[in-house]
Parts: sequence; C-alpha cells; structure tokens
Amino acid sequence: MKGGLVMRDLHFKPIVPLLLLLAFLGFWLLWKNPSHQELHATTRLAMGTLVSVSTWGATEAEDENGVNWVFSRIKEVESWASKQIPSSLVYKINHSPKGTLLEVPEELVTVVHTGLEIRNLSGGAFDPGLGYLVDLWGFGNGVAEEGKIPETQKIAAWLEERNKHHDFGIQWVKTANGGMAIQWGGFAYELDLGGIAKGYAMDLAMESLKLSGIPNALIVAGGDMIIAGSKGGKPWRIGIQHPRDHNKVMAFAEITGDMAMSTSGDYERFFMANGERQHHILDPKTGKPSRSGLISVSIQTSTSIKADALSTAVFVLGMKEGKALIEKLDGVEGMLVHENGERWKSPGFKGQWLEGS
Amino acid sequence: MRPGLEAWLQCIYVTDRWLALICALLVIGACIGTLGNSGEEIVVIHDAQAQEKLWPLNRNLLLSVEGKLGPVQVEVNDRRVRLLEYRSPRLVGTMTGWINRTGQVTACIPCGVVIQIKGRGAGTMTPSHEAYDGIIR
Repeated sequence: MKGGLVMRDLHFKPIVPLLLLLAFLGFWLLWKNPSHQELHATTRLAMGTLVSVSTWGATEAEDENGVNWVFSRIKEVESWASKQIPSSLVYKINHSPKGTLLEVPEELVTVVHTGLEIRNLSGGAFDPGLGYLVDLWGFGNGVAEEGKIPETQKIAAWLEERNKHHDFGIQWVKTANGGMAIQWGGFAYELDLGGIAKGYAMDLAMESLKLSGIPNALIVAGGDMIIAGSKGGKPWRIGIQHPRDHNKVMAFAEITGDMAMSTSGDYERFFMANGERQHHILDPKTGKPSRSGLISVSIQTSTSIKADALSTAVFVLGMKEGKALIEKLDGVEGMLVHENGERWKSPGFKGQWLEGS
Repeated sequence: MRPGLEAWLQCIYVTDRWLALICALLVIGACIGTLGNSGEEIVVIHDAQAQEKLWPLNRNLLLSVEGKLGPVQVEVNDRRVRLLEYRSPRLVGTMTGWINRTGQVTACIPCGVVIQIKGRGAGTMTPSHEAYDGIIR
C-alpha cells in the first residue's frame, strides 16, 4: 500500500511544474492587461491651460470620483478668481469705482494675503495688482494674438499712479459679522491673480484627492505641479521643459512625497516685437516684460500657491537677487536658467540637469 | 487517445485534472482579455462647451466640433487622431500632428478643445509609453 502511494506520487510529479507554469502565465497575462494597470491619467482644459491628473493605486471608480472633485475645485476657484469672467468676484472688484468696499470670502483673502506676503518678501517683484498692465500688454486672455507694444504714455500713467502711494492700494476692513471686506484702490491696483490663484487651486485639488481616498497623485497644470505619495513606492518622474525648445526636457526630477513645484518662463506666452521677446511676466517697477536675464525659474516648496508666486518673483528679481531670496527662505529650493547660459540650482533642489540640454 | 497521453492521464488524480483545467481556462481568459483590449482605445473629445464625445480609435471619423474661435476639425484615421484648428493664433494643436498612443493629448487651448486617447474604461496609461509622468512647462 505504502509502496503504491510512493509510485503514484512519483508519477504525479510532472504535473506540478506544468501547473506552476500555467499559473505563472495566467498571473503574468492578467498583470499585463491594461485594465489592471494602477496608473490613471486624465487631461482636461481648466484655468486656461491643460490640467493633467495622474493617480496611482486607485480603482477606476475611485480615480473618476477623485478627478471629478479636482476639476470641480479648480472650477470653483476660477469662478471667483478669474478677471475675465464677468460674474467673478475679482472682475466685480476690478470694475467697481475706486474706494468701493466689497465683502469677500476667506478664500480670496487667503490668496491676496499670500500674494502680498510674497510681494513684501521679494521687494515688490511679485505683485497681485497688475491687472491693468496685463490687459494693456494683451496677456489678459491667455495668449497675445497680435504682437503690439502698448503706448508708453499708458504705462507711464500706471507707474505714476502707483508711485503716488507707499502702500499697496488695497485696504482690508473687518465687517460687523466678522468677515472681511476689500477696499479697492483703483486701476493701478487692478487684481490679477493669474500668478497665484492657479497654485491655490492646485493645493485645493490635491487636498480633494486625498480626502477622496487617493494618497498617491500628481497634478500638472502648465507651469504648476503638485505631488503626493508615490507610484507604488517608485518616485514620480517629472520633466522640466527646455526654455528654448518645447520638444526638449532640460532637467528632470524624481520625487516621492508631498511637494509643489512651479516654473515661470518667458517662453509660454509671448510675442516678438522690436526684436525682443515680449513675454507675460511683467516687472512692476517698469510696467514692461521683465528683463532680468532669467529665462526659466523653477521653485520647489510645500505649497503650490507659494511656489507659483515665488517663481514669478525670482524671475523678475534675476539671478543674483533671486538666488539670495531662495537661500533666505526655509523650505524653498530653486533652479534658475539665464539667457547667457548660466545655470544654478540650490543644494536641496530635487532634480538634475539633462546632458546636452 | 495516444497510448503515451493515456498513461500520463492515468497517473494524475481527478482533482489535479480539474486544477489543470482551471489554470488553462485562466490563461485562455487572460489571453482573450489582453488581445481584446488592444482594439478598445477611445478618443475623448472635449469641446468648448465642455461637452464630452467618445469615439473608438479604430473607426475613422471627420468631425467638426465647436471651438471658442470657430469650428475645429477632429480627424480619426488609421488608429490615430489629429486636430485641425481653424482660427487659433499659433496653431499649436495642429502642429502637434497625429497622436496614437493611450494617454497622449492634443489640444487647442484658445479654442477650448482637448483630445485625449484613453484605454479601456477610465483611461489607463502604460507607463512605458512616456518617460515622464508629467512635464512642467
């Protein structure tokens, strides 16, 4: 009996590797099946740019739910922060008579306060009140279609109005119900939150994803990006566009964990006139496109709102003062490119230059 | 039945035969699923009114969608898709040319039209298709 069992077991042995092989093949094919991939990516148009949301490890239903939350939060911010939408709060403020008192929600207070904080830190290089200038240069609608430099007198009139006041022309007034109201200082302080509200929307969008149960995600909106977690333990791979060749990546970063990054450059929105690149990053001191010599600035920090505003500020400040500002601030890292070829990145910047870029 | 195979089958238990059958079915099912998916890529078209249109990538199409600056043509041909802008200032979307891989996007931002190729279901992307998860511009 015992001997018979031994014989059967010996005969049975050839089936074991066959079963293992079949099982392995089955699992391998299932793993390769795209419906089991854990990376989901969705791209839509929002805030005048392409917004891509990538999630890792979520089911299709969780991803869809999270992505819908993201775009709904972004749309909410756009609905009050856009200076082009007539129903938005910023539009209403900008089109009110000088000195009008308007009660504003906490979100707008947060964005404008952060903008003013970066303005103070950068000695005025970042300014949330350049709305009039932005329209004058034709960048208000996203892309300046026809290159046309504004009349010098109009820029001079704006600068003259600005120079009349030492303080920023927006006053905050506490309302009786504990809220805040804004008292607007006229055309020289027309709000343009384009350089900061997108960052704020990105922070809210990532918060929404996390609240909907997605801890690993990447959101990219033009020059702004926010990251959380990883791709199953692997870092998110981020490329930074070359400022003079939109098909090339000049640097890349592998990032795990929570981080925001923002890039400002003279290459996304511009037109050529008088032999010069007339781009959308305006210097509040001249009323004209910044001529600091920098052509690309990337900032990494904890929140997208700060990264967004700081990248603009450093761009306007230039290489020397920009480096000084980055080094002065805790938790802020930067990567700068000058038109003369000079490059610099702070020691803590997560990323490296690509050879030949 | 061939004598060799008959002898071989006799030396395994009935339960082992069932196990082998289940494994074989698993492999066949996975094969069908994998091969079947290769034809299920869809083109997702977002027009200026934020309306979403879906179209299989394997069916040719020439469609005019509403853009903020005028009509924009979307052409699906030979398992690839492209966007033909009409009045866009820089024609960035048109210059992008054909796209044909899951996850790829072509867009005319001033027109408010975005086209993306998605895989089966909610839009999976094969990581090996792109070197980067995101490019900051």
